[in-house]
Amino acid sequence: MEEDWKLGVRRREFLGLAGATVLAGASGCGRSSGEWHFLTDVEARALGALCNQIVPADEFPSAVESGVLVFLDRKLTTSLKEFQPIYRGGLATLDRSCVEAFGAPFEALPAERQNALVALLETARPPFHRLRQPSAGEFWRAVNLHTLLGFYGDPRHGGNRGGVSWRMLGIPYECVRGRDHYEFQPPAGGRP
Amino acid sequence: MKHVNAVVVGAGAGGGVAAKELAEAGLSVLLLERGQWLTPFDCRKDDLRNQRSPYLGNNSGPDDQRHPRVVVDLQGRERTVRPSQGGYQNNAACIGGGTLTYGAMAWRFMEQDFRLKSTYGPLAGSTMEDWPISYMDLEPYYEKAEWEMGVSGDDSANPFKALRRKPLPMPPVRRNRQYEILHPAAVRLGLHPFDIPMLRNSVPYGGRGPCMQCRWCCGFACEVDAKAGTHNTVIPKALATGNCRVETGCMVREILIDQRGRATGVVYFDGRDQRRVQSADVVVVAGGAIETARLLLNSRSRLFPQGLGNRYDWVGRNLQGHSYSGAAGLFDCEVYDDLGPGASVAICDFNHGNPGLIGGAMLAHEFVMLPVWLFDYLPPDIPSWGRAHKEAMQRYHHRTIVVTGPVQEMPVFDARVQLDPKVEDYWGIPVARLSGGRHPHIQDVSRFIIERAHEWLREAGAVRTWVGESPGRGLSADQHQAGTCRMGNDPRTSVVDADCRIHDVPNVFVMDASVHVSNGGFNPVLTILANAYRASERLVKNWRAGGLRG
Repeated sequence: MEEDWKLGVRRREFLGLAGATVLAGASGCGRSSGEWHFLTDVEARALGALCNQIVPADEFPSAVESGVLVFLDRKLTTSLKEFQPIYRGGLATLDRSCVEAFGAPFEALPAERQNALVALLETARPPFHRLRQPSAGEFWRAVNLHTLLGFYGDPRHGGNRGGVSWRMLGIPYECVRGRDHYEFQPPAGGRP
Repeated sequence: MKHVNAVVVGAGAGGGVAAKELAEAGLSVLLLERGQWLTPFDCRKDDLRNQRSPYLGNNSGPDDQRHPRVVVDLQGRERTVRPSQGGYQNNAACIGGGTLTYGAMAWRFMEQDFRLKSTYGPLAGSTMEDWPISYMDLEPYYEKAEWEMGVSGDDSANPFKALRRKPLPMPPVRRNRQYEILHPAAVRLGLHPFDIPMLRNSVPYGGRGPCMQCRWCCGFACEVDAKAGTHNTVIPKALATGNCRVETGCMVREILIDQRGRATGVVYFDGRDQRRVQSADVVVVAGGAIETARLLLNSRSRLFPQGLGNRYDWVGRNLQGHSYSGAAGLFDCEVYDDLGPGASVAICDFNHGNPGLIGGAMLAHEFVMLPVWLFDYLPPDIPSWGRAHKEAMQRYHHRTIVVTGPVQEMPVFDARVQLDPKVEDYWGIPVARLSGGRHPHIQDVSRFIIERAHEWLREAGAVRTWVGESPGRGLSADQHQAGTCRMGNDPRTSVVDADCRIHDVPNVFVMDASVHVSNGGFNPVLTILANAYRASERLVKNWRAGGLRG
């Protein structure tokens, strides 16, 4: 079961990437392959790379492998809707800054460079010091926290697939051993 | 609408008790609640959506769409916020109020908590004052709350507690590993640890089963009803009398006052948004310190042009909560056994008598650490992202103990609830506008309490400790909100009298933490419950003597 979801994610990622490349070739960026509710394919690639810097893969999956992009995309159209402009603006300027400085968007840079850039983003140092609306700080704090929430929070929201982070921490998944809290039924007769 | 003897506004801790006491005394009661009657099925165990960590919303109200507030920070910047956003100072809105999802600690305040000013003298910049009642006035009602609703625990080893006539009705919930580590350490330090009293069944009690010790406690509704809230104790009893009706989804607009200065009832919007006028002989307000003040301020009449009970501008003043302060410690062994509720051992050694300081706090360890809570408790030198963060989560989750406590606040006159001049809620009612901050002395007490928590953790074997929690200077209220309709004998410096009746208004009562003159170094719920029992008893006596009928 655990292997299944890993393969599933990798396959989805691969397909998403392939589709986006074709689209980008045909009509530039800003298009969605239909996989996402809020994100464009280009944004999803940049955000995915950023999320994987926040929760990188080791012997346990990375943020994206555990479904954090699904979590973010879904929540950005619901409970975290107010963060839409922060993500839209932040991701665009992230990529623009990277293209200006290094000739390539964030997700295409080597992992070590991405890592160094995140440290600069976190402290609003060049090339991110001029970011406004959102500021580097606003953008970074949102992505940082929301990625962690997706990875460590309840799987029902689309991240932490299969409770992978809880297993990583050594927490039994069920509320009480032998009992799954999803199976809880309302009391007979409904509300008192 | 059929006339009732009493309308109770708000079905939380205070309102639930009032409804039951009045209904059992034979009064016809209408209990109005703006939230819904929720079950654990309506608010599942979701670490991102609950009253404690409402990252994606809260689980027991109020809803984010219809209940905005305006908050003004210390720099004077104002913004409109929703219930699950920071700064809103939310408690809950549902049958049971905060008691549906709380951690259920059931503290009696100490004797000094009722006479802060006589104990510590006046303090510049604070409206610190004695209560018009003493601990002993409340003692029988603490006992009543403990036995009627059901409290487990054992405070017999706490030498600092005030007189208790009757022990708690239930033994403590089974101790967890952190208890076994912290208890002997406290003893070695010469402190006096004991089992925390909780409104939580450890054995079957009141027709409800015992705690199953799951990890989802503070912030969540209990699916086996082991936590006692007003929703599963006094409110069902009120309904069983046949004298009480509960209406949910009802937003009270104002209390109506006649030409003689008596309340005649309330105006409210029902669950279908229909405007209703309900006439009543008595109105009991129990909406929580912020909404209670808002309702009084919204109840303007010829005699009270600045709001009901607000002749001397005290309604909404002295808003306070608690300044939680504590430390966290890393151990070289596993301290996590997944055995809820988590918090099980406490000390009251530092509630009072701290050199050079006013008040203090009870100290206890935290509820079972959910992973999303750990981010905020990691040491400050751990980065918030990357491999180092992921490794720290793995290293610290099973090896960290947090010891923390609610530092008693010194009330500040300018920490207050007002009506916002522009922003209205869904029904067109002016919303609460919150402003002000905490007294600076709280920082001194907080530092002291944090240092005591460090010592306890180090003695327990922590290999490193760090500040786990410390208060800011901004406004404090949240789930422990209190103080906005102060109880007192002088109408010029308080809102209600010792019977919790609004000065100058014979038939309107406030029965929630709004009346607290100070809020103790403890979770305030048992004091709210006890005081509601006491004030209801006085009200009923008065009723029987014929004093409340128009």
